[in-house]
Amino acid sequence: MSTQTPPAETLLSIGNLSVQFNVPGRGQLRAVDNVSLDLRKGETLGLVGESGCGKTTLGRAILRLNRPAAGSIAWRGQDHAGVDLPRSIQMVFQDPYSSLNPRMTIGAIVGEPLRSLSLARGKAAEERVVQLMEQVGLDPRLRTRFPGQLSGGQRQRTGIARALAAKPELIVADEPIAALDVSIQAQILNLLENLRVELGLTYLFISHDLRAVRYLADRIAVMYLGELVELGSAKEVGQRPLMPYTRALMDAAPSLSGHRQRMVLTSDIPSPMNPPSGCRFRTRCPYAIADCSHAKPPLQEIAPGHFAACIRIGPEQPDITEAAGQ
Amino acid sequence: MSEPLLSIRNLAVGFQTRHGHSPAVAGVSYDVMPGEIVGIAGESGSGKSVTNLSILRLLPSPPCEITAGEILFEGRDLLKASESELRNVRGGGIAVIFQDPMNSLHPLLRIVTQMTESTQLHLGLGCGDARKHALAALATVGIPDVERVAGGYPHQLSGGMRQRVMIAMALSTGPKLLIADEPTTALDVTIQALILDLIRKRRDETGTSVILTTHDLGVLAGIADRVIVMYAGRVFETAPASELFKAPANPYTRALVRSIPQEESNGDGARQKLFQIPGLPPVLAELPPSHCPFAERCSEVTSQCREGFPPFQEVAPGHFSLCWRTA
Amino acid sequence: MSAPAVEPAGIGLTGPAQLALSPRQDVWDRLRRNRLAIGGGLVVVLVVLLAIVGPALMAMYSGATYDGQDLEHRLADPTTAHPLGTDILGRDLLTRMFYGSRISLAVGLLATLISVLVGVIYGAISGYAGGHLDEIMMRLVDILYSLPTIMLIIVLMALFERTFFLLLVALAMVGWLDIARIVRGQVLSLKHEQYVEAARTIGVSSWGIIFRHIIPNAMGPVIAYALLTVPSVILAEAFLSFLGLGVQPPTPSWGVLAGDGAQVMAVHPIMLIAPALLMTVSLVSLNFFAEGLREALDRS
Repeated sequence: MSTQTPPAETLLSIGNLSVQFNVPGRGQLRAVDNVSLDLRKGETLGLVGESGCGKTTLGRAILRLNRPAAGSIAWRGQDHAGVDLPRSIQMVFQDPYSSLNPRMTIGAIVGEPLRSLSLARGKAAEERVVQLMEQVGLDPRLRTRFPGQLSGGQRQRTGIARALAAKPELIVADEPIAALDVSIQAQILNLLENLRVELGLTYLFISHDLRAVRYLADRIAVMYLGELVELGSAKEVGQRPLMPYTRALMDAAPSLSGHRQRMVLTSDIPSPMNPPSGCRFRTRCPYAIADCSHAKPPLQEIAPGHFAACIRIGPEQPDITEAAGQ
Repeated sequence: MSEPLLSIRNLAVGFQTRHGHSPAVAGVSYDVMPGEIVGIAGESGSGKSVTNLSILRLLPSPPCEITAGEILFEGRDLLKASESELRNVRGGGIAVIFQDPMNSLHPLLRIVTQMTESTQLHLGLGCGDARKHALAALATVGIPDVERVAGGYPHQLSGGMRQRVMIAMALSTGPKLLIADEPTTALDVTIQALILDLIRKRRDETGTSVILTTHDLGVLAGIADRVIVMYAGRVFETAPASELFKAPANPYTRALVRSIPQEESNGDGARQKLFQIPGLPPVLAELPPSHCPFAERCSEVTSQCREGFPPFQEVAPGHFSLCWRTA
Repeated sequence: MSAPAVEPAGIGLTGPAQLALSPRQDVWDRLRRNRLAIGGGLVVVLVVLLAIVGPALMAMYSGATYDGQDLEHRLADPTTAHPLGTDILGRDLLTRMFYGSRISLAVGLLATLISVLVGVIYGAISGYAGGHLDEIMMRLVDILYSLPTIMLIIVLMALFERTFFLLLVALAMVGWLDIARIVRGQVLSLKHEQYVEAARTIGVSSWGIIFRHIIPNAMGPVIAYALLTVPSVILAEAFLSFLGLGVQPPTPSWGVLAGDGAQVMAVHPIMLIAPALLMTVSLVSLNFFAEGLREALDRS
């Protein structure tokens, strides 16, 4: 990962991170396996992948909601464990209903970080709550209402306001629009982008919605069964994906141009408890060869700033279909 | 020119709530031709699921009430059919698959038992034949290791596998119409592509008609022959799929299409702001009858939109739009 | 302050969610429709009102008090001066019944409050801490559960000085174990709710999470269960007093009255029937109300 050319400072540095869970009766599950990633200040890094890829687990590990089994996370060069996390990193959760206490008013929810982090009290706290609500597009009169009385989009805005109250530098947004209607999704995406510019935030945008990620993200990281398999600019990964898996993913994303998928994967995602040896994607990859099962392919820089983990491609031959002679 | 397989005429459905009668569907009409894939797009509150479930009267009767309309399947009005006639149609002529396959499959019965139950009932197959039929159906939907899957239970399968089992079950009795209610919403995108591919292949091979509802317009672009856009319990636009996406006539459809991030939105340089529809979907009970239901949120609204309920006009052959504008 | 980034979703906009009620209104609305529960609730309110003002009314009406003895009219039949007659010591039965209601209800309520307090804190700590502490705390509950409660109470009351406070503590033992278990179960599931995780990410302390997030959301079943415990506590008190181990004379309670009435049952049945009827009606009504409340809380 040291071959990046960063003019911007690195905010978060994840090194060889692994997170595992103990599944009773079935052994260990490596939800995140040896992932290294850097987040630069001011960027939006999109993290995509399907079920079992570990993207949510990675996001939660950054928030210290999961404990890593191995590897390191550094915030501004300092070990993550010693950092005052709530003031630096905040999370926007996926389900706008279950992430808000149903028995607390909106005003209390948005104002809770002010109290728990001793940021403001009394009148000043109330004014700040009003300011935050307006900033995310919520009518301040809603602060006496309860979450059950708000729509999905309004609840999600509440969650965003709560995250902003702590004045973080980094926000991990875990599927922030997945539970919302299409017309509301656009509202929230616009809101997130405006806030980023206005407040100088950095985002880790975790989503399975490829269209939203390609729109919002500057760079995209693709995960599969716990591993990082591709990383590059949003444009490159979206339009010229290197990994066969990323290609299948981009092809499968529903597009209004109505193109038929070029690559339809015919088998299911293997269970993360028992991932295939070597390259984990080989059981579904149309370009797999015998060598793919022997060793784990390293993440190599195929093009400047564009990394992929596949033994069949390299800087001299980045195109998998050509490399496979098809 | 053939007869439609299914014809919904002026369907109106509502619910009894503590606030009184609450309408969910307010006058929906559309046809499904044999062998056609009809896609219905709509957000929450649009009434698309209620319409689907009403076709087979699957909604619990209080609090739900079908207040008007007819649903003609092969010429017979399903809303007037008796319980036994309806049972024959369910699973026989019309099959349904739902969004969450975990809730549609019996958790305590083996897969093969659940599958043979419907074939024995509707096709009159004996035990051995029904079992062979079930295994063959599982193979057609691309399930590997059919013997093992058939002998297992739903919780042992992944979401994608379960949905494929549901499809196999639904199609095993050879229905003429498949109603798929948000079948891929809960699935990963690569599995979604697989399932949609399966549905399309099935239609190509056997001529089964499909009604596919979703909130994701993009899903329909790749599979539907005709698309219906619903909003506030009504049909707002209907057109052949290619035409609808290339040149949507209704402002709601246009707004919906524009609010979906496209490849071009993130070009080199500044990110373009996404078009967004302001406000929230309406409460049907509170809509004034002489307004267009979308008037409050429409960016192309005129004074006429609040003076009378808009007409459902044919703007091009086979292309209808509920709007005062004709463009 | 900069202009809002997007169009504010104003308060006037309608949508299905806006019609929803707040959690409290929702429960009240559901309860309102349950006629049996409301009926029961009204009866209980009536009994409580009579318990509060009854003795004063009787004092104004005929000068009777709960311990005032009218020695010339002992075991008397109902008259205008004594609407329900008198007991063996000439004390007005109706006044004693009002006063007894006061004592029984107060004891029931206070003892239940103590058991709720102890049970909630115990269960919340056990559930939130998890691990070994949870194991130990729950095993203790299991052990206590297997001991016969009534006998324990009787032993307690027999061994120690019979103060009002001891009575409350003894009776509190009736309900706290179940409440602890219920709360622990609730906490175990609530611990994993996303809003609890969100609270951790914004820096709320563990105590803050327990008291602001978990307990308020766990209280639904607890309140309903506690209300259902009140009748059991009152019955336990009645039993104790019947045995002479509870409330001490001349203070009446439903149990004391039942005991007194049982002694003269053959010659003056009204002395047993009247208090027993009052107690039965009150407890049944309370049960209806508590059931209704439990149902209303359950479906939210």
